Amino acid sequence: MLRVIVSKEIKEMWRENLLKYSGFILLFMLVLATIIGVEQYHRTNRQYQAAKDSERAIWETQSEKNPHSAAHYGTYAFKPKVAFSLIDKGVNQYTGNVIFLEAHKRNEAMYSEASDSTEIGRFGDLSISFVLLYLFPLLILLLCYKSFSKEKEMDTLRLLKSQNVSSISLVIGKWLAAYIPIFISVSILFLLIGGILSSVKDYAFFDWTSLAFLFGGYLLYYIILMSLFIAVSIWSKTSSMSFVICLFIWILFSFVVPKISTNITNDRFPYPTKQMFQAAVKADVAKGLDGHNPWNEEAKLLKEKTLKEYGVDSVSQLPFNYDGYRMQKGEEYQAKIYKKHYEGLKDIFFEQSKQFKALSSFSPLIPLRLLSMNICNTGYIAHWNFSDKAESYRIQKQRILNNDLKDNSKTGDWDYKMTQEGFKKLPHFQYEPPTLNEILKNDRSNFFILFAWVALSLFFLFFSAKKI
Amino acid sequence: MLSNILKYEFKLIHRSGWILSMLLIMIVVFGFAARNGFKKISQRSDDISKAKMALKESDEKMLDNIEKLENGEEVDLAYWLLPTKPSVVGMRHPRLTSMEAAPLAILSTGQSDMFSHYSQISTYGSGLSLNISEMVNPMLLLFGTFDLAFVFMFVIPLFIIAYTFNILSRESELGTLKIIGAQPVQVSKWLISKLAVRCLFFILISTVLLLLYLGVFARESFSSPSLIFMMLLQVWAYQIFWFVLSGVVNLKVNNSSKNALILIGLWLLFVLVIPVTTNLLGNVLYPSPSRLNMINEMRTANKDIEKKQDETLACYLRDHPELASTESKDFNFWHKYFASQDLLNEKLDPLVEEHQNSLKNRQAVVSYMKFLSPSLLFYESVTKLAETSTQDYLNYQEQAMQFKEVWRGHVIPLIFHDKKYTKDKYLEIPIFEYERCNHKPILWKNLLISGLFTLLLVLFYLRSKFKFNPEN
Repeated sequence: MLRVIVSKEIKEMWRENLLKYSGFILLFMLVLATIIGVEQYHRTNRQYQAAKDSERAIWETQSEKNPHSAAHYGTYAFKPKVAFSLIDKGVNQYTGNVIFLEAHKRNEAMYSEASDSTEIGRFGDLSISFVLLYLFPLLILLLCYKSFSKEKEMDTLRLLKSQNVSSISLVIGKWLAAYIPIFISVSILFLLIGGILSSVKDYAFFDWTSLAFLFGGYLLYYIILMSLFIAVSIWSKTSSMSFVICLFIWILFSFVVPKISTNITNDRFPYPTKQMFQAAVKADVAKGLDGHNPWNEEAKLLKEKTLKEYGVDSVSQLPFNYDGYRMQKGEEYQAKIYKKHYEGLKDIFFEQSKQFKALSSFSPLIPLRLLSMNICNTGYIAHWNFSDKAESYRIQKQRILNNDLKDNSKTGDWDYKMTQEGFKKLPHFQYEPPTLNEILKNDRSNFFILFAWVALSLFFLFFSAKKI
Repeated sequence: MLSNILKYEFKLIHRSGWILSMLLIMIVVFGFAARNGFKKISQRSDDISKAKMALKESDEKMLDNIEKLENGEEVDLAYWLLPTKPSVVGMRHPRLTSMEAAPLAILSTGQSDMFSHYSQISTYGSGLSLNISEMVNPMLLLFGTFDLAFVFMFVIPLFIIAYTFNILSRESELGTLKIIGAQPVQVSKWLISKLAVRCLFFILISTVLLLLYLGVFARESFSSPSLIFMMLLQVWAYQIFWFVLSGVVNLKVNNSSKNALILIGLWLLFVLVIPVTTNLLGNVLYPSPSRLNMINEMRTANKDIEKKQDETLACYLRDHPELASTESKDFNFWHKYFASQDLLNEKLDPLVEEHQNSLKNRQAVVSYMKFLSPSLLFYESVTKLAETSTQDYLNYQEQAMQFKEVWRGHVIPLIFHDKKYTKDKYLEIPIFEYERCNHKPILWKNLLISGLFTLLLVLFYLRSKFKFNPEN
């Protein structure tokens, strides 16, 4: 009987022109998003590679100079584009993908795409995730909103019941009829995307397991929507009423709750302004060792301690260049201050994420959105990861340069210069985004929230079946 | 007859429970959005006030130290931090540039969550490098905020659709349209009257709520009546567009389910599909110039100048003889630094200008596509009224960069002439004054185009009217 219901429903859906047109429009948008996404990926990747090579060449061929001057001269760390950004661009357009690495200072990533766009850019870009997150649910809405209300309007529900069909079988049949085409189309889509991403040579950081998790996440969301929309159809007297309520749910999940969450989160856990953050760092830095200032209180203490440790009377008797040593100690102190303040910022971010997750009980789109961009390595966590790795590299770079000054020259010898050979020895900045295991370790809760939504929506659906 | 229709429609509105619920929802939604706008503005004003206070305290301290030094007293500062040194004043006592909230900033968050509203300008660093991006969790930027612009652009059209989608079709479906047809009034006139009453009622509610919340959260906005009037015109034009659209769909389709589907489809097209496709097409037709290339080119230029630091100073002084000191030939780090910075800026100016022009062209291409959607036109108008558009922030950034030059002009001649910074010199200290963009032409243009959209629909409606058959 179940098979009969499913096949009858699918046949009916297939005959509906509106569904065919909507499906065709979605397919067109997906193809457009993919083609343009692939082209953009290659363009950005070429620019990334060229900029990375050119920056390295500039670093290696800079004129001979004091290593600490070279540290001030600095380098840039470039964030590579990951293959999954083709699916979900996440927050990449807001974060910037270049960080200037210089002495004494941890800089923020700069030149975000969003700051170069007009306010229209805030509506987002057409991407695969945009279609999957916002438009596919509308197709599901069209598949489900009149599944029961139509039977009521045409008075065929009584006829169905007289066929000795249980309400539960009817619900399962209609649910499966909506689920099967969605499952097939999403599966084909993900297989195609996987095929594209795995076959193109320069697609970085792609793996099938991540794609499978992404696929699972989206399917869970669709199950939630399907169950809710069919339940709404059971409760609604007319299809128009059902349509309006389903649409209200879609808008609530997709726009209203995420936006309200933003306001609540920002009200409860605001970031400091950039100026305030910098002022707080500056105040803390001023309290400690300044590598450039030998008359600083902390510098005097360091000098005393070092002389005592080496059992000498003056810095000129030390077996190394004390200026380089002090510079490095100052750098370590400043790095510690930056770490403290950035950890503080990260704590606010974690609180904000918790708040977002708490508000996920009003919209399953929030955990899916977070999960999608985190798996695609285009979320804020991936950006933090890049920023932290760039900072580790900066600290390592300063250490190498200051130690070169310390070990290869004498105290007071400011004419010492590092050669281009020396600059070439500096390790390259290599960045690899977090692996799936690392992502899932931090992101398990989003899956749990989605599963909880699935359980609740299915419960609501089967509870509603009693009303038939 | 017409007065009967109007009376009947008013009675319906009066008795409808649905209208009451919609009114309550609108009161809550408007209130929440206005409160969010208010919180943002308060935070912004608070941040700027704190920064101004900090500058005042720092300046008082600096002046106190200058006075002591001028009187030959000792100060508790290392010699390279003495505020009588112009380089110290220029670098360690940066000037504040700020962009206060506009009277109607409550309307739209726009780009205000992404950019900083104040920055400290020092003589150090390239004039090209002023970064006004704010520190913010990008997830919050991605989801956006619940503001009045969102309510008017996204939510209100849905209310209008829900309120009007079956205005004619319902009568058809209930079989009462034939009775109306038997009355001495044209069905199209009857429909116009019904739509007009609902439109007026809706406009009245939203206007009253908007003005009420402005009174509560942004009272100072009433000191700019022309802005308020322009805001109301934009809101009315946008709402009228949706009413007329609904009227046309009712006449053309005349089936409640289909009306709802078509109107929601159009809503999706205008508020979601066209904006995202516009961005995508903008990227394809006019890709953003590469910032990565720009960085590389800037670095290469920097490297060239750095190689000939000493020559640079000589060249610089040849071009700027007014800065060449007649007393001292002992040039220090700062002389070389400013000379190379100015030359670097001169060299990079064309590069940055080219980049900016390319960016502006791209933004212009994207902006042209706004004419495809009245929702985009409305959104642009609201962000301009709130002065939270990209154009406003670019304007601020440009003014802040120009002010950097003014600030350098105040300090650098003293460095090159080996003169001290004095209390008298402080009296001439430049103060940043932000000049707002003039958005009036674009606001009128958007209003006109929005009106044209509605006019086209009206013409379409009139055409449909003659073809309409109540029997269908």
